[in-house]
Amino acid sequence: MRRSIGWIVLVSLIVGAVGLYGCGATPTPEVKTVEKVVTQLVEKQVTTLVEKEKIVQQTVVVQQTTIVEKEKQVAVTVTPVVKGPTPTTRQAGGTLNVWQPNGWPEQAWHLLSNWESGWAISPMMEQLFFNKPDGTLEPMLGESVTASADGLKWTLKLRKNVKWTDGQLFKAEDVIYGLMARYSPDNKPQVELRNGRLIQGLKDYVDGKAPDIAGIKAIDDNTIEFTLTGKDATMYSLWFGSIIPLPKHAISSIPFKDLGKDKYWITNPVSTGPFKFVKYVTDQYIEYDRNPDYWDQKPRPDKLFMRISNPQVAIISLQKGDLDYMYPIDLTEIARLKTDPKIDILLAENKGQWFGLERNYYTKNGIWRNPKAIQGFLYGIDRQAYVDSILQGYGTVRNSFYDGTPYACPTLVKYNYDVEKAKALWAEVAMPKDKVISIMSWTGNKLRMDFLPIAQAAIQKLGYKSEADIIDNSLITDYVNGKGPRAKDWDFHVLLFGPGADPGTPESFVDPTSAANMGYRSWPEEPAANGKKSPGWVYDNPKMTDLFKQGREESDPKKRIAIYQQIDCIWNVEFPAYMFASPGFVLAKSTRLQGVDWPTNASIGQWTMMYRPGDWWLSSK
Amino acid sequence: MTQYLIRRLLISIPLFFGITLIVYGIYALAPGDPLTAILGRDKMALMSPAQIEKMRHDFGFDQPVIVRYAIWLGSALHGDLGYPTTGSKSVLENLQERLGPTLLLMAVSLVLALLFGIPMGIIMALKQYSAIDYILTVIAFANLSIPSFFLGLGMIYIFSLKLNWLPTFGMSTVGDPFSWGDLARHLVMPSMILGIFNAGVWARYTRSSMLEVMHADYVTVARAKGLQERVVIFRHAFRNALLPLITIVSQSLPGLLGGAVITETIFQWPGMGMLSWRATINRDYAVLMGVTLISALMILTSNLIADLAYAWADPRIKYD
Repeated sequence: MRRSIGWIVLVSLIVGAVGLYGCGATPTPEVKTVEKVVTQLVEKQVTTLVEKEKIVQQTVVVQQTTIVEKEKQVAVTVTPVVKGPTPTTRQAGGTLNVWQPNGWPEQAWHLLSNWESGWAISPMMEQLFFNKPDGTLEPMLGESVTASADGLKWTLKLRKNVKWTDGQLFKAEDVIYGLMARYSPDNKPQVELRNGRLIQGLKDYVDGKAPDIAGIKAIDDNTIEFTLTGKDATMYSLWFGSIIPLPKHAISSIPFKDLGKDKYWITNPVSTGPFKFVKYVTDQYIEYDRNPDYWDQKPRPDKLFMRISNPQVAIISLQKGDLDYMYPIDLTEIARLKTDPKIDILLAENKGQWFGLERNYYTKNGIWRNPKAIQGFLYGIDRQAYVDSILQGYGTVRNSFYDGTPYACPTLVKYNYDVEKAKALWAEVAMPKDKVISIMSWTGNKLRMDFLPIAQAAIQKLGYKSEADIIDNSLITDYVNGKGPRAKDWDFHVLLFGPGADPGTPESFVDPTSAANMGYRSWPEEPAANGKKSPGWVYDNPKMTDLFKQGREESDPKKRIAIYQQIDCIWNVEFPAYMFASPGFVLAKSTRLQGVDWPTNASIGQWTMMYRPGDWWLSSK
Repeated sequence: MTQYLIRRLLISIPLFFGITLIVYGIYALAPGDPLTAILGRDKMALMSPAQIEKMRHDFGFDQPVIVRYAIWLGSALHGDLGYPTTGSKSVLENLQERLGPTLLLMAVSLVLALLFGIPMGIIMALKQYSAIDYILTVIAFANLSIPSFFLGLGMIYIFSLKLNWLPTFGMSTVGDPFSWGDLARHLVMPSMILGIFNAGVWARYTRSSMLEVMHADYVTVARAKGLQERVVIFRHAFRNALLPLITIVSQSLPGLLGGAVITETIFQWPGMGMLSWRATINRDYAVLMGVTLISALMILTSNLIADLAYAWADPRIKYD
């Protein structure tokens, strides 16, 4: 009897608890399936400074993106979302809270090696320029860059009357000191020499054979001259767009060998940006104050906190109002957050990177040498389904390396999903019936890994078997070098790559021994004895190699576009590596945060840096 | 007793070094290239073989494992645990900074677990097969079986977002000066998560242990002597039931450090758990070895405390 009473009480308690939870929850909203295709218009808020404190704001449509917001198959909770009119008066004051996902791993500005660290310093640190998608530079601390007629001398002009937060003037010596610190042979680990390889004396400096960089000279406090040993058009996009000046007067007493580990970076770093450093509380937050002497228009928020937390908790904080800015965000959360009246979702097309497949260039399966085999694979995968399901509609299918950029082939072939065409092409190339196609992805990016089941389903539809491997980051080298579970017989691995800041990026897909100073170099590094590409290299087209060389040496942005368009037209058919879709850039922010130019932020290839945070402001409403 | 203590401390020294050697060996045996994990695939793809070799040398990965261990141990004995692969603080500074928050979280959760777990176990034993026994059993199993990650997010959703009673994450309110009240508010949820799990475990052990002794002859004799029930339970039964509990609690102490990895990560608690999680992801062996040192010390210390507590709880135990 006592047992029965016990169970009755227990069941009653559970039922009661469930009931209470139900009462406390939001009433079930009307749910219906919405099927709509919305072309997203990206609006850019153009601000014009009328008086010192008064801003007139107008909204103009500057670009029609190709991002298609698809909510097919998504049950949307229909809740009237009242977000109110966009505030137009730029207000001063308030505390801005932005999200920082993984702490602040590398605090030294000259050793930045991950995007989280770049994000942490972006409110206070400024670059010389931002790279624009058309190959031009947007001036920040730099004013202009000009190349001599022979392309061997580049002159950099710096903005005048810019002050560091300790009151000292920003000078040419700070730019040179920043470069010397970055490339110092005393750094452990040493920063790899990637850009500016053709700058005279830079390699000798990096190798510890020279105390200075012979090819970099300050002409005066605001002018620097760079001398090259050969033509290099990427100076414009990759070199000048990535220089981080350091305040020589503040840190010159610290030897380079100790600079990376010095407490200076987390105690009192001086800066030129719209905000200045206050303090860093380990794994909690970074605090910044407004820089009252900022050279551009006065930043509006009084304070900025970069708050560190895991992504799931950050979403709750955003909903609660503890955060104003969250990027990146789990795409599966977007539909839910869109119904929140306190949250804005901003979209921007990703033109700089996409997911793609890199071949095993040394595979014995020479079948992939035939472009038609790749084309068949492209036709056979429903890439739009990947965009719709895995990317939740926030992405774009890509058909060539430069698809979506000014460098795209004007007569681009689109490989829309067509299983019959795929089968026909594979029959034409005599794809062996017993072929088992293996694809690998490594950890760290769920969207990348989620391509594997989509690809496997497609391969199965084409009548073939497949193998998929998910590999830890540290095992990639072993895998691609034939020491993994597939030995040397793997076929593809999934990459997230793209032209980024310079269109020359994919040169190394075409020739692994190229002298390109940027981009990916496919593994394994097994050049033939003569130093040229290995005879086993799966892709070979002398015209492509020549075009890339031309692109590397051509400094006129317009002529470069023409060269890379030719490359893209070949790429679009031959696919040294092939791409399937680019994930869109999605930002979640509070409705009170205004002035964020997200499309530009995303387009400059610096989506992980704050683009002009001094222009951001907080509405009191 | 003193002799025993000295003997145990002396035995702990080789044990301590043994633990560090084994752990160092396990890290070295882990598959994959630690340099790739540190630099990343993209960065390495841009480097020449010579540059890669130089970096391997800079990190000491080109040395045999035993040489690397000897170098590490030599430095560690001089108080130099090295530097993480990134950042401005040494491993020692990182550990010093993280130890306090973790110990605080552990202590509070331990107290909570003891306060809830042991009384729950005693009540369950005294009211065996009653409604309250079943209810508490369900609660204890729920505590044990709900993953801390799920429970943590659920608590944040309810107590922070919906009710706005508690802060979402962190150890203090950003921008506010330090106050004990603020710290306590931030401690509530993470310490509850950790405490709840252990309370469930300890309640079950207390119940079993109490049930065993409650039927012992000496408890019957105590009752027959006419002693008050409270005295019978706490002086005669509970004290004897304590021995297995001491073992369980002492074994849980190092586990609290490890178990705090998930809780610290959810609540952004800047302790050892978060440090070791990051170090594991980044294969930062210098930090991992630092954490290992602390863990080894905790295991040895908690075992020693357990031995001493046995003697306190059971006068029959002598260590001479």
